[in-house]
Amino acid sequence: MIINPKKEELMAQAKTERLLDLVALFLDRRYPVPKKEIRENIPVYRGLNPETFDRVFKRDRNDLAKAGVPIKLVKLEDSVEVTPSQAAGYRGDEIGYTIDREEYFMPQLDLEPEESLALSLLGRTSPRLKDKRLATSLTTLLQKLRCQTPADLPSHSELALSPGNRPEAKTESKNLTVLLRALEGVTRLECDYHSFRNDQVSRRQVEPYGLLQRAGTWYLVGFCLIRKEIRVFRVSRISKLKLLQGGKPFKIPKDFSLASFLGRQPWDLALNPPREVTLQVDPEYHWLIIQELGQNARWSPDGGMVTVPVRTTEPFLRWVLSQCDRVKILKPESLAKDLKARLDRMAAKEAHA
Amino acid sequence: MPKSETELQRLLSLLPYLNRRKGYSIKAVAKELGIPMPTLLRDLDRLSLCGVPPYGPADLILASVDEEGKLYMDSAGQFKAPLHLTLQEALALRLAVLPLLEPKKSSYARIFRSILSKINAGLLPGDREAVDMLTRKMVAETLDRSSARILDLLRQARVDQKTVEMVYYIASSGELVRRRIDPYGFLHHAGQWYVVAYSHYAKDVHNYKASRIREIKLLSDHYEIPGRFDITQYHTGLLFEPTGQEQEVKVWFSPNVARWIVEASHNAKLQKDGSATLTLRANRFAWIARWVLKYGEEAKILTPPEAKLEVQKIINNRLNI
Repeated sequence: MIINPKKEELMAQAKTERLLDLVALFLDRRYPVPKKEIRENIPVYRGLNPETFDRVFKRDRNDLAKAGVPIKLVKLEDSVEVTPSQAAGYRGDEIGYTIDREEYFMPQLDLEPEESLALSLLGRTSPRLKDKRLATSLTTLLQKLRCQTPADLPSHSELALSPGNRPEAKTESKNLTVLLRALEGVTRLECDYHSFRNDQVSRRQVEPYGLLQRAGTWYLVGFCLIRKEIRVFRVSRISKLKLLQGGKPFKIPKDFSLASFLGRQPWDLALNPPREVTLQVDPEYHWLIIQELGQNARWSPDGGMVTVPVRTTEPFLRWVLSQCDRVKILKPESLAKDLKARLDRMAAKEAHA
Repeated sequence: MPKSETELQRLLSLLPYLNRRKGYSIKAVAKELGIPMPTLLRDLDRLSLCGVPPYGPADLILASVDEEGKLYMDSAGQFKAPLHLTLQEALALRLAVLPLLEPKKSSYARIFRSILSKINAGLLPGDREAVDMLTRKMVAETLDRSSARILDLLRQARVDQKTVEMVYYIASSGELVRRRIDPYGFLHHAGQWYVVAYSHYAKDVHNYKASRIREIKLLSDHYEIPGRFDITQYHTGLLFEPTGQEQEVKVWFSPNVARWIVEASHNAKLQKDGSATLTLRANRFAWIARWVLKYGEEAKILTPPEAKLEVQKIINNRLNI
């Protein structure tokens, strides 16, 4: 059947208004409303035969529940709440429908003026979340909070978040929503992962432990069932992601700490034991190098020397290359030689060019 | 989620909000909501089709705009407050503001931590447990080593509207300079804080990475933020501010590293042989030279000659040559 898109839109609109009217009805009546009264009061329902009405009303109740409206079923004779399956054991006119007001209304959150202001600024910033569902949720949240916000907040904005327009952002956001579900349900997942180090795509099964954001980019930390060790995956390099429902639940090891992945430099992220590299630092740039080396570096009292734990040599050597006029490798000698050879080759190429 | 559900959620949260904005100018309401005027007017029309069945004269929602352009609302008293917050909403907010929780001691971090905990307290018990559990499974690292002290001093300067004197490291040229700035606002981008400020030196508005501020002092000179300044407009997603004197810089990356570059930048083009070419614009090249050096023999600057020279200069100045 071909449905005219305009007509489809009109139907969705009519449905939204019907659902809104249902909420208004339940909030207005202080008593559980019997089905008969509901049918008589909603024009669309009135035109339906009893079976169709039952079906449509049930679907509408489901849609309301999905939107978060807490509809309760109650036995009319003693006002005791029943589950839908219990209600099936009663005649239609023995059950009433109501909204639990305490659950329905958002409680007063008592936001301070500066908190309301910070939130309103957030709302005016271009949406950071590329995933439509997350972006919509953020919009409705801010909309709800505005009901508790004074109208006369300063219009001068002070704070903005960058939209994070990287090519990978869209895939990242899409995967994030699924990963959140996996983390919430402690569910294993299966995906393809593009390892950039060897440029290969391979199928993985992962027990997700947590999410880590670094410089605006999300990473998944989890136990890779193929590699049999804890691995860090860049979320945007994951594809064909799905949850593996129904397997045995897994446990996150007690000694696992997500926070231990923070504050580490690219050369300090692997899990093998580190080797210590000692650098001499130009005192003029000490303040800058201290920022670049992170918190695991140990400095000499005069700030002229620093020892860095290095687990992966390549990224560390690359960093030293970029700072070769400010730092020099003292130990180990083999690394100093490696660096010198690279610099000599690069200098020769530059001279040749 | 089907359209009717998101629409329902939107309208259910719009109703109590509009109830609180009775008598306000409709323009101000649209601006606060951040939606175009026609959308708001259409929403008002739709709400006016709703009410409490069987729709007695006093039970229809009346939502319209009066002759003075003010919002008129009546008979929507049932919707005195919005629908409770959902798990999905709490998570969306947490994802969006997670990077702002650093540096931990800064006042922004304190404000957003407090907001998150109040939101959490307002959730239904089951959702609260889920958020608590997920919170332990989500951490952010900003890589921003600017101290909370510098960020807070800048924020204080903005509140008091007092000029700041700072010693700032210009990465593009590698120099340390002394500058007087009037902070207008703050940007957070890729894990880093930036202050957007009027520079007394450049006589224009610029952004400065907070972690590159070495020293800072509040002066007693007062300044005004121009009424037309809007930080959300200022920021276009690119922190690069062209002066008009930039040259095109082309950098080549070998097939071994090309994928990293293409993933992170819209300005990179993958070539047939698997290599990538990145095109940037810059008028000073020290920062680019250091960045290219990080890729060792896997990258080289193609043009301009001045930028290539910068790479040579760093290599030739290597310590202990």
